[in-house]
Amino acid sequence: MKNKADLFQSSVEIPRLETIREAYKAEMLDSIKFYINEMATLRRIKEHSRDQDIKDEITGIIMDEITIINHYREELL
Amino acid sequence: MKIEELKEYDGEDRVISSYEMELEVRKNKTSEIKIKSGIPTLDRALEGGFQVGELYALSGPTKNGKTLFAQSLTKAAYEQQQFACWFSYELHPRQFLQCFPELPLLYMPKKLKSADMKWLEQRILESFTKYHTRIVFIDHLHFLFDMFRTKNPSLEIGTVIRKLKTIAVDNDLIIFLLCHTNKSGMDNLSYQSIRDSSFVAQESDSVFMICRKTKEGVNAAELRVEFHRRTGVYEHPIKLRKINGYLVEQENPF
Repeated sequence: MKNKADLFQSSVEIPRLETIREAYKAEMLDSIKFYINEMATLRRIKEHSRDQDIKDEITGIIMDEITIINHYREELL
Repeated sequence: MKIEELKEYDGEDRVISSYEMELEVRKNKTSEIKIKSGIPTLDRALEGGFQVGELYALSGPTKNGKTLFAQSLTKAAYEQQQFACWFSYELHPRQFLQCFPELPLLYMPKKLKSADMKWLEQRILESFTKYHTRIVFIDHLHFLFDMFRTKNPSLEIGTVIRKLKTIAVDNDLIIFLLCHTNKSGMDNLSYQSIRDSSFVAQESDSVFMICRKTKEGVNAAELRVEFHRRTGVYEHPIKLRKINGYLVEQENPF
């Protein structure tokens, strides 16, 4: 009879966990790329906008997106 | 084209009056964009910061803080949500990224190609188109041309500098070019100390010299704005200190 440690190391569970982890990582990387592209678009709009309220709002959004990106980065590292 | 035909010429490069040109310039709001250095005395000297369309030469002896200063500017720009595009020929990407205490968002080519100005221009434009990077750092000048094949480095450098200035003007970018100094020693540092060509100073909008001031402490440095064409600033020294991995202005100069 297998003990708990043997079960944990069995060939069934570990690859599945790895797959989930890799998928999660890939999703985070995609999110980082998405936010980076969105930030570029927002910064273009901000640069061309003459409305200070819009500029301030975009500044806030970008700050939030940087926070999210940094959170994902920490997870990935 | 005959003289008579020129009377009707209406191309993009037609000759216009200064008043029309003034209106054109005012229409283009981008030309007013300024990015602060994060160093108050420098920002005052530059009348609000670095302006798009400008080429800055940043020089100083080896290991005296050129790259560190450029990285400090990168961080200051990042804090203004202006992300830089870097061409770090001198350092391996691992070393380069590790130099930042906290890595800011910036962009860089996955692979670098030296001595190819066409490639450099394409990557600068790629970065701007994809990520809207208005600020570019190139570390350093001598990677932009083939030192061993060129017969006249000075002329070659002149061509490189003129090309960089054109890229900055045409695309409303701010370009920082790091340059080594010749071996004139630490006491006579000026824009004339830039290695191999006087064209760097002649064609740039401004030259900054940076050197460490070890007598005033291990982390002390001096930045000197040798000249700045837009503002007329000339030989303007600013005391800096390395704090938390970046060069910042010293509040109580030594």
